[in-house]
Amino acid sequence: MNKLNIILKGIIKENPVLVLMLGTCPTLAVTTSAINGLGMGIAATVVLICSNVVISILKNVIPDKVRIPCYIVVIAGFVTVVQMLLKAYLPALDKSLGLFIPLIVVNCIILGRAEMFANKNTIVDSALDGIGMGLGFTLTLTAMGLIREFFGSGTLFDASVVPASISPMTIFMLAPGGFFVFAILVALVTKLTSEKKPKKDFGCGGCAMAEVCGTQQKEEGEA
Amino acid sequence: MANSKFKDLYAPTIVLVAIAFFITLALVFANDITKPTIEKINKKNADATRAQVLPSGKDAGFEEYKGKLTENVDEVYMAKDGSGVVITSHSKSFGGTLTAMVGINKDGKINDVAITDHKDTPGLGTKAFDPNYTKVYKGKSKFDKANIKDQKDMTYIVGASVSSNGLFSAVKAALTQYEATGGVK
Amino acid sequence: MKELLMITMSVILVDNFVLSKFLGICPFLGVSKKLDSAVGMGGAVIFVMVLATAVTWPIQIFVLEPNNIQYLQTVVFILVIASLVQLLEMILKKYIPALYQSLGVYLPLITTNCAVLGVTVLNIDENYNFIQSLFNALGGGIGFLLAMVLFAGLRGKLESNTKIPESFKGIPITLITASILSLSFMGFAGMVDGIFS
Repeated sequence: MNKLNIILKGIIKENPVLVLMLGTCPTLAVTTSAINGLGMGIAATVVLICSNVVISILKNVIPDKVRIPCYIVVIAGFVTVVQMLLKAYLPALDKSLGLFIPLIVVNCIILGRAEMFANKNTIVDSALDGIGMGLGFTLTLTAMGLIREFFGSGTLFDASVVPASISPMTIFMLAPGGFFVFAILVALVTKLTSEKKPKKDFGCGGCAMAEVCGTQQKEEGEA
Repeated sequence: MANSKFKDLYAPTIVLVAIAFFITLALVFANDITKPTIEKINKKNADATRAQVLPSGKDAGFEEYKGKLTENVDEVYMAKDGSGVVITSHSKSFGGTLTAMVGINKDGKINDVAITDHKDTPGLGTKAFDPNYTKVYKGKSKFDKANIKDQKDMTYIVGASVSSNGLFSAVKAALTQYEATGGVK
Repeated sequence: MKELLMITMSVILVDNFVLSKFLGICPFLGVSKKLDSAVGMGGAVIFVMVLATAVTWPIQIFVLEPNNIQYLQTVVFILVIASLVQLLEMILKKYIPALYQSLGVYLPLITTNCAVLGVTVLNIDENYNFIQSLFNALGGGIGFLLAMVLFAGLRGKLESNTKIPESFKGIPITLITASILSLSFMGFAGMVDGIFS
């Protein structure tokens, strides 16, 4: 498999958020400002790369039966390390992301990539996959953060860009605005890629639990 | 038979326990490295906020008051030069606990307030934490009402009244503590 | 009692996990297509949330805090939830097959439902006592169920609508619907305080 392809497909073709529909919770919750989106994206990317690498190393050691708990423990470990580092070096970001840092553990992107990619590919490929997926996640979150911050508080990366006389549309910072901006972005991506792709729908396809879940058909991993 | 049982039952357990053990070890290690930095930065930030709400005590520094704390009060720091006191208190606001630092001058009047932690809605509840609004607390020394809407000499942010009241409750708790301490010690 | 009611009501209506805190969005969007599966998932979530809280709260207070190892919180909590779900599945399968039939398929999904891990962490963050935590978990679960059921009803109508623009078919229109639903839930803000004070 082409190494560059592994990275690139995460950004556009298999964008984890907009195409695979994974990790929607943090996408909606933390993107009230661009800087939060960027921070969350980077934190999740670090965890994703590290856990992908470790799981790829351990793929022959971990018995099939307990693989999900094993992945979760590995991921939770990295999440805690990231949380400690944020607390120590970026306390402001730690505060604004709050609850959603420990929740990276259950972010479907990370568990999903462990299950779908890292446990059947080499270490290098897994690391590249982590970088690609992480980049896609980070870019999407930052974009959403930029849009919501611009409309919702009239700033971009905390720098005021809209004259104070124009009152910002606070609704974009709130829950409904989050859903709305996300909907528009997904519609945009669907429009841009529509001729190539069949109509998508929500599914647990990318979710690690898909196999046992039974409510949806499991989407096959990389060929 | 025995071999397959081992493979089915014990091997997964052992691997899982081993992984959990190694992760725990790694975390202990990481914690040892980051903990001093976290404490240092927390203290540095707290000191900076104290200096911000009570600039008169900045040069002499602050010292923790070890006396009895009243309800909803977390910390009391006296300015070493006796110019005032900074009280950290909390309250229940819209999204959860709100923590504020209240700088009170030695004449019992509020100098400034700062919100150090909150879980309210960015862009909506946070309007009540904007310095342009929180300056209404400057010079206040006593609140007799339980809700900011009933307090005649205070204004609150329409549309963020729960957050306004959250801050109000925290400040009120700090003023109660100030009275209980008996002013600046 | 009044306080417990307040916690429960506000987490159901005002701070609804799905519509205002964005917890558990994946199952909310994934499993809310049919009413019966929405109810099943919601029921399973309530069950696991309360149970997980009942286990993790004592662990945090009596094991992690006295030993100063709060930093193991994330690892321990998620392990507890994962094993709890596994255990529950086995027990239900063996002793209450009827309940297993209706809830069973949703149980494995719950491990990765961030609302469950979220509620256990929130309870600690908010310094709730044991009883308050249980009611917070119960309310969170009921709020999740409510959102799922309401949304399943709305989606039923959407599926049969043919006037949706091509690009908005499927996911985007569902998200727009969620946006409007969450907008209507904002109307509850401040209501709980108004009732009880």
